[in-house]
Amino acid sequence: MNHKILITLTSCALLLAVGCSKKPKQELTETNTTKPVAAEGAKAAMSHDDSLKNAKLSADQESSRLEKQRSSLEEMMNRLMASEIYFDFDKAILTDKAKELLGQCGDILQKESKLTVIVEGNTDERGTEAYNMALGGRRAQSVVQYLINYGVAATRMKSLSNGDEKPQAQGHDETAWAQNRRAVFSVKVIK
Amino acid sequence: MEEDHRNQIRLQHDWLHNRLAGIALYVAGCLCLAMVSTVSAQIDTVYLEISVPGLEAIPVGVLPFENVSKNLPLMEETPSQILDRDFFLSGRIEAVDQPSYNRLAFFKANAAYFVNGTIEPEANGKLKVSCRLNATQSKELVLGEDYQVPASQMRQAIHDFSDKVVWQITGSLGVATSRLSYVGFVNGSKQIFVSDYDGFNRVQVTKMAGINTMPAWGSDPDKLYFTSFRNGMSQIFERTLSNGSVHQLFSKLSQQTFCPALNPTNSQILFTSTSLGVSDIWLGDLRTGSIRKLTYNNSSKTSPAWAPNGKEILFTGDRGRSPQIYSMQNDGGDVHRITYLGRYNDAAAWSPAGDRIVYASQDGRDFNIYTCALDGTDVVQLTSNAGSNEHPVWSPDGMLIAFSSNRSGTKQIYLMRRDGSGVTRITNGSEYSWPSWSPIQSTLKENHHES
Repeated sequence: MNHKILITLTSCALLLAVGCSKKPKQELTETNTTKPVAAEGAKAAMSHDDSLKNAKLSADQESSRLEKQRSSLEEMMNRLMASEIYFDFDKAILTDKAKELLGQCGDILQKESKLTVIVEGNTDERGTEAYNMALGGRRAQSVVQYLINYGVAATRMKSLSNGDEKPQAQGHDETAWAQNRRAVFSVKVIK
Repeated sequence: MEEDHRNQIRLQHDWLHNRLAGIALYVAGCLCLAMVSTVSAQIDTVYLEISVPGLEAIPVGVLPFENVSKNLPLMEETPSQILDRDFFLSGRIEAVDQPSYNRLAFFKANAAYFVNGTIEPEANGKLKVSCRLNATQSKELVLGEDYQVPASQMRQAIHDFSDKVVWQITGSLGVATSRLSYVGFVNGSKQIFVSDYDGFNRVQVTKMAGINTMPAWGSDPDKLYFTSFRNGMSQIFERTLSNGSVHQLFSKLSQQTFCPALNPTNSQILFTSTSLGVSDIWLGDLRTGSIRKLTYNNSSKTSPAWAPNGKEILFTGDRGRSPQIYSMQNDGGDVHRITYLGRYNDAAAWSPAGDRIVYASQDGRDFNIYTCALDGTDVVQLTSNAGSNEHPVWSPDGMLIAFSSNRSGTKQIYLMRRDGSGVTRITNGSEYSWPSWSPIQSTLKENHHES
């Protein structure tokens, strides 16, 4: 199990790395062809324009890199956590496995300081809708608190609750319930 | 007790006989329930479960209404069938059905009064529904109402007459003209519905995809409050039923809100709001827009509900580790735990008379509905061995409890008397849950103060 996750992680990281080195180049060519340089007109200002263009390109490159990073991270965190049991029934205490994997999410968040995270807590269908809203909120916050303790700034994270309103699995058995006791990450880039 | 009732009726009858005025002619507009949309307004069939009436009911004869002309639109139920159920659900009148006037049968059943009436189409396409309450022995008119209504509002006319009969005979207000709101499951989304209290004339009031839930009514029958996830997180909205306008409440509070509960006496609203994982009870004012937090410790607090006097509050708290019912004052002080039986108690509602609370308690996997005294003693179980039963709410007269149950295999809305008898399903198809009862909106409410 550990190995499997490590391999998944490594391949994710590889994908990320490959994504970072390759994708911006594609963006660069696209920018060159779709935004006509000729439109800039005046020859005298050529060198000035070039430096502006380069600054713009590097900003584009950076935001494109961040967007790639953002979506990969969001996908990775959700995939990483998807198969894991976060919480026991009626509890908001993270399981050891969930903590281990959250640490890996914490590492990435620490590297990318321009990314923020919304953590949505979810419960299974048992219990009442109202109390499940409260329980989902506590679960989301316990994920956030773990990441805070791990070193991620509290201001970069927010917890929300969906209660039992957004189940991932529709069944009425422990398999479905365990899948539904989860947290979902949505990662955003700070503007 | 029996004798008292009889005397009371006799007195009322004499009193009424002396001042029996002309019959009020109701304009249709009086009954016109302005609705925003008419989708999904098809009529549900309703079945009654066999039950033992737990409350003393006064027998009243019911005759089929005469159709002056046979040329009437198709009706799902006849006026006498509607009256039969209204009387049954009132808990105070027992219908004695006869095919025609039968003095002997009425006397045998102790029915001192009987109801009859006529329906005829008017030239303007409306129906004239004439309803009469008569003394059995003399056949003298005791109470009469004529309604001119579109065919679609025939049921409301009968409900109105039922409430007037309940008032005439028992001196207390009926709820046959009230409405229920509840959550319906529509193509993977949850939407808010409103129907008559018996489940007929159902209308979907929210359309926005996603989760719309936890409807709540205040003292204004035209305003419905609910929780929606339409902006990505739960927030409370107010909807005006007559014109369909919707707006978010307390949007300056940037954290999520849910579980609205309207003060029955003023413009205050309670709700739950969650911040940094902690859910607390908040008090808002719809008139001034002010909000303040009432609870402060680290446990979860949800499901606020008002006492009928609008001063005390019930809520669910888990500071004793599992969710239990607590009470407090409207400033957040004087917190008392009410329930000790059961591991998981939630969704408390205070009876209109102020004497009992009803709540849902988890027994194993399923929930059941219980009532108890305000100090948590005298616990009475109202549902058992019939699926999971949740979301209990009182009718405005305190005689009925609406709740949701999956006993039929899907979640549906049911009514029962306050003692658990007379269980009546009022929805079918799809799935419905989380009922909320409108205030009494009958014209009788004004008459009530007058008499």
